[in-house]
Amino acid sequence: MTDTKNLPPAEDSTLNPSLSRRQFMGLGLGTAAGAALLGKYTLLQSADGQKTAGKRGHYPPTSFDREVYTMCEMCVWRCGVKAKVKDNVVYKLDGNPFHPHSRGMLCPRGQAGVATLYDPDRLKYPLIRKGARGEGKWVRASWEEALDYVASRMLEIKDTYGPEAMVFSTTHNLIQTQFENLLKAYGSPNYGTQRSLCFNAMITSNLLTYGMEEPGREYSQVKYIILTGRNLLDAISNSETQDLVAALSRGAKLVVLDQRFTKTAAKADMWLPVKPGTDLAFYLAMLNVIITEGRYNERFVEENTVGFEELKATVQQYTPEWAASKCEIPAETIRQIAREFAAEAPHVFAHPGWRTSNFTNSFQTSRAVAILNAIVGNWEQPGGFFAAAGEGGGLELGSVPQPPYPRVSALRLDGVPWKYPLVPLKLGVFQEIRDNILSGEPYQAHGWFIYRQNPVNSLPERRKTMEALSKLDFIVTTDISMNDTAWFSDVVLPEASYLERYDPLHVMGNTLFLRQPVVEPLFESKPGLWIFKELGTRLGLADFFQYEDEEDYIRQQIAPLDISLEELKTRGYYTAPTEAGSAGAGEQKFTFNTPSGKIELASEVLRNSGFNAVPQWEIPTLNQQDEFYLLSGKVAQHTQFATHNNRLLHERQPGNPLWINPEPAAQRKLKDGDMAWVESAGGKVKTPVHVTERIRPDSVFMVPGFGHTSKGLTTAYGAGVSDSDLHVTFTDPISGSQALSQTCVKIYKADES
Amino acid sequence: MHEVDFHWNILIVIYLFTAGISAGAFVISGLATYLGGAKYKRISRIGALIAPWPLVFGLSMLMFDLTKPLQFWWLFLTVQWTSPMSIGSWLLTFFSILSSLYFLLWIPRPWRDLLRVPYRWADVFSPRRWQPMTREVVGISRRVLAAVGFPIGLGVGMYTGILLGAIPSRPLWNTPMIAQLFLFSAMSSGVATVLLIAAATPPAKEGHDHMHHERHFLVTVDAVLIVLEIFIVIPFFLHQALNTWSSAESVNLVLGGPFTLPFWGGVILLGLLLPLAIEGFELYPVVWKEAAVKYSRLWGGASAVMVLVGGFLLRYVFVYAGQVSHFLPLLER
Amino acid sequence: MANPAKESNTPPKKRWGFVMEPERCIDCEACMVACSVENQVPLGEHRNWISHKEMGIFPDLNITFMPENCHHCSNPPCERVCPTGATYRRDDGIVLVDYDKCIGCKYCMMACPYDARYVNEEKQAVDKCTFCVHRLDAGLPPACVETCVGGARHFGDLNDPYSEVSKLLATHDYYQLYEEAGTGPAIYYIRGK
Ligand SMILES: Nc1nc2c(c(=O)[nH]1)N[C@H]1C(S)=C(S)[C@@H](COP(=O)(O)OP(=O)(O)OC[C@H]3O[C@@H](n4cnc5c(=O)[nH]c(N)nc54)[C@H](O)[C@@H]3O)O[C@H]1N2
Ligand SMILES: Nc1nc2c(c(=O)[nH]1)N[C@H]1C(S)=C(S)[C@@H](COP(=O)(O)OP(=O)(O)OC[C@H]3O[C@@H](n4cnc5c(=O)[nH]c(N)nc54)[C@H](O)[C@@H]3O)O[C@H]1N2
Ligand code: SF4
Ligand code: SF4
Ligand code: SF4
Ligand code: SF4
Ligand code: SF4
Ligand SMILES: [Mo]
Repeated sequence: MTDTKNLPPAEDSTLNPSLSRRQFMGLGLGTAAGAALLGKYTLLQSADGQKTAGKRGHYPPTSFDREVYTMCEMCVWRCGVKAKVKDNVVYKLDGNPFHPHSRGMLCPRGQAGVATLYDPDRLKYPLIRKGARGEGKWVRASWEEALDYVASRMLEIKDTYGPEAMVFSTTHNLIQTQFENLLKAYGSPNYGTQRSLCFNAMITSNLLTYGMEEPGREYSQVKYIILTGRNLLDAISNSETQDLVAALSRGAKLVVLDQRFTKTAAKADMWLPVKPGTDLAFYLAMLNVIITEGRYNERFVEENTVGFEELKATVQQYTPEWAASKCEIPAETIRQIAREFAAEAPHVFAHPGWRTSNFTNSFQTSRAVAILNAIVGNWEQPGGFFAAAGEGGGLELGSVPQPPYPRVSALRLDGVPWKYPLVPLKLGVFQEIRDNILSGEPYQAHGWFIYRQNPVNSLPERRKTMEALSKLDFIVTTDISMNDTAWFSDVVLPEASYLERYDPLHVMGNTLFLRQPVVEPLFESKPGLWIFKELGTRLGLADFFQYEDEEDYIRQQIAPLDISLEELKTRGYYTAPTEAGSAGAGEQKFTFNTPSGKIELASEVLRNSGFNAVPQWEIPTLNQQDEFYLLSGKVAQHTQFATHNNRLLHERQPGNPLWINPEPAAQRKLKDGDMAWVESAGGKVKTPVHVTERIRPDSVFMVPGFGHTSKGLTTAYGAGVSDSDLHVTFTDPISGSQALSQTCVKIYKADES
Repeated sequence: MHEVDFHWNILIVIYLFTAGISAGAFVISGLATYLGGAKYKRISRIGALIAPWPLVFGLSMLMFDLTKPLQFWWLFLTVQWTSPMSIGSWLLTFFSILSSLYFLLWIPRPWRDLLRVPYRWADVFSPRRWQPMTREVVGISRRVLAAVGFPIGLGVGMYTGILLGAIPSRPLWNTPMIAQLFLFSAMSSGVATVLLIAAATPPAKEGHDHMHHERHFLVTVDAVLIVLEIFIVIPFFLHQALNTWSSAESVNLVLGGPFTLPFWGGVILLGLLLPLAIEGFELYPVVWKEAAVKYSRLWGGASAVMVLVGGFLLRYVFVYAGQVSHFLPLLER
Repeated sequence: MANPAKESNTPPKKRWGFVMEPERCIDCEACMVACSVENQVPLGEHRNWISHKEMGIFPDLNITFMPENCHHCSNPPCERVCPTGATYRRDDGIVLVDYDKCIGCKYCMMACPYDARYVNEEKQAVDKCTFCVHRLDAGLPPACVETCVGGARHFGDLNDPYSEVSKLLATHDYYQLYEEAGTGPAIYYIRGK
């Protein structure tokens, strides 16, 4: 247990004790460099001089005490990092050249990791709420006190209402398996993840079509790419972003469908500002042209797919002329793209997308995309799709022994499968949990354990989320900073950041990667592996956490492999020898993990559940006159709702003015920089506008992640506004995806300031 | 691209302005000494007594503008032939020394006599035997210093313009005319300062006549300078407007941009045209009717103030607008 | 006449420089963050930046992203005007500021046509891109080059015909910024398709 003797008494320190430099140094950073982190200008101060370049003190160091290979967690892509440490201070993060996701490069967020590590607003101690929820009054607690308290409240809920009254939620991370371990051992079926806000439509459609979550894309020989709202150059997936740029530089053609002229669109050969919600019409017409003109790969379709005839009959009606009237892309353009795409096949792909949660018909759009790829036969072809392991999978690791989980009989609050029969159990419908906490149906939830997530901002309709939180008896949040959800919690547990801890190993194919501590955890923050074990033990679930400490956990994981932890630590990764020769490109027969064992152009599963077996045109709600579609999408310099307090990233992107086309802006007498009200059925916000040609006149756009309500984020607080205040909850009945572009807003000029 | 930060601010404007006044005051004092002798004695004296001080003040402003004010002496550890600022620093140093000595020669008699000089080589090391300066020596010294300082004064006046003009990357500055413009404006500011003080301090005993003479002299010099300035401003704009796109764009800053009002209202109207009109009104009877100058302290003082305000604004506009003016990227690549 | 034998004996001087491919720049600003961290650039200042050229009206639009930093001119106006000699140019073409000699008169900032310089309040001196000399000396590429996600920034010895940058210049059409200022910049831009 942590020694708390030398620290100020608990009452003294609230959320953000303004530490003097001396205290700060005493608390873990014993060097001048660390102290300067609190300085006005820099994050790190110069240390050693450099002989050839200049005088001492003016140039950054070139030699370091150690270089540690670990993994980035500024987003979920998990790039390899080489951390350079001197005097126990992390000076710089370079990309690990050996890691397939970074290849020596880090994106802006990865580069800014030091500012997250040394963010003065880092959570420092366990905190227990003192005042009213959201009031911001906290009492500092020891880990002992805090964990005992959390465990007692969780046991109370379990004993009084049953384990299902406790909701757990988290977002994609490496300790997720241990978090899931905790909730399954506790016995709750209620598990919320970001997935239904993110990629449910895409994953569900791929599962139903290919029997796998997400086909891989091969960029080295691709000749033609279609991206549907996949803004790869802003919504960075480091290696894939690099691949796309390289492919374009090699001469590959790119078509981008997006209502905005994104940075990706800026590099495209053709930008199609498709009418919101009508991507499906475009793809149906693509299928129509390719099938009616006989440009598909007959042999591949015959050998590897089912339901082609039904598809052919269905798309007959969807001519480019028909589509043009729906999606506002000229028929000739559609025809041209279809022909070019087919002509370059199989070295082509229509990208499956990532955050495909746009409209309630996004599932069928994703299905149409999957089918388009299938019929041109790009499967396992150079420059096409290939079978890729989804989350996890690949190399076999040792597992930590544990007893079987208790049986769960309660219904899931997220409506799977009783309301959403086709949503995979693993994906769930997060927004539905929130709604059912509110409605108390089918039963009332009483507690919420949130780990590494910010649902107050990431769920649509913030008003509802706040109401749901208010209804609960107990909320505990584990984070590295006081996010908006933590701000509203009863207990906040500080986790060690990704540069200060071990996580369970990350496996990709036959290679595994290690996240390991680069420096000691700051203040009293603790690794997740430690937190979950300690909490589990207090919940009487010690059998589920049979590891001594983090290193022991990893030793157990690598036990079957031919490598020691020490060796692994020096390299950060390990590649297991493989048996040679997987399927060559020449092979034409494949098996797919679908009921038919083939790619399902028509899906019986869908038919049996009462949905269209092959995609058909569906009309999403359309906006009223003088209303705009409110679009959402990432910027390269921030991650989700997580990095806005990082001063290096805040400096790059300090706000999120509303993009609006000059035409509607002029009608509303809005000039660039003017203030406007944005109002939806969900709420209203006041924001400056950015008048730009780069968006359709019927749409407006706002970068998500701003508008933090937590005053514990001193840099981010007050910066920008949140689109979650505006979004209305629309759930796609097939995939459970939240339709993030379906909310319509009215816009009018506001008085200044 | 960087948004415009004004790295040179009002301190630099003050520095350029005051350096100009010093130079102008010195030069007019010297000129008066040579051209008028006893007739313009008061002008010579006022100019000499003023000359060192605005510059001292300006230099202290410049020092405050440095990131290391206490390390300004680095400037004097080196001569950088290509750097106008380096040359200018040395020039200002010489000017300061000369103008200070000149100042000492012009302080009124009782104080001047406190200054003693050795008249014989043997006395050099025994200061007790030093003598007050004789009238003759003072007169010669004044003339010598005025002659030596004259080109240096002109140099200082010109330097304030060259400092800006030597910079190719600021299209508004990068023309040889800016050196002349700043020189004439410096002289005019110096003259105006002398004029102002002359107007504010009535002559001690000397007659009315003297006042008319000196007034005539100052006003004439000033009017000539103003006319010269006007004849630089006109070709300056023609030249800039007809030059590269970057230059043309740069003059838009003053022709129809944020600096239009201070330039046209302040520099041209207030600083040049109005004083010229007043001076013309004063000179007109002298030149055409051969009448005596109508001497008005009020008008004289007013026109001097206008010239000074205009001179200050001229530097303000150029320092600030110049930093906005920028090379423009070629549109199509 | 110079002795040709003697000339060929002296190895050619290095001339470090950048070749940028605006077509590959995705405006992610990883280079800016990397530079800030690597060189401990005070918040609010930066040594490198991306200029945008935005043209057209909806839906016919065009944007170009131009990565930039100090051009390490072969005839650097910043060096020319520096009154203390703090700004100097090394034999390998790198233009540096001697932070101890710099008094912060900012004259060089006026003189630089690229606005590449800033006042570093901590050093009490004017500062700018150093081409990451400290990394070069350690055998590493500049921080911004190493991390460039789009692969738009290339760095190397312009005098070495076998360097990546020389090969790019040999095979592509290129231009430079404000050549007309006579600065002799060491950054080349590959012309787009
Ligand atoms: N309006 C709108 N809503 C959206 C989206 C949108 O584009 N617009 N996008 C959707 C998508 S695609 C997604 S994936 C979700 C994501 O939304 P969320 O699932 O809420 O995820 P993040 O915003 O990434 O929140 C991550 C939290 O983890 C914390 N954190 C970071 N590192 C650590 C760590 O090491 N340990 C711990 N314990 N905590 C850490 C951060 O401080 C932050 O509070 O949002 C969805 N919601
Ligand atoms: N820098 C950065 N990179 C990230 C993330 C991040 O937060 N920051 N997050 C990561 C995560 S979790 C995810 S899920 C991915 C998401 O990456 P992407 O899938 O690229 O998703 P977004 O950026 O959310 O949205 C992409 C585009 O969809 C457009 N759009 C909205 N509605 C429609 C529609 O109906 N049709 C079409 N054609 N376009 C539409 C929007 O204008 C936006 O430009 O990015 C990942 N990478
Ligand atoms: S994409 Fe960027 S933020 Fe995400 S893991 Fe890689 S470097 Fe880190
Ligand atoms: S770009 Fe500017 S700072 Fe860099 S060498 Fe050239 S003139 Fe000097
Ligand atoms: S600011 Fe420093 S480097 Fe720049 S010109 Fe002045 S002394 Fe030289
Ligand atoms: S070369 Fe180094 S100093 Fe220059 S911009 Fe790149 S990272 Fe910054
Ligand atoms: S890192 Fe490369 S791609 Fe990204 S903004 Fe900088 S130059 Fe452009
Ligand atoms: Mo996501």
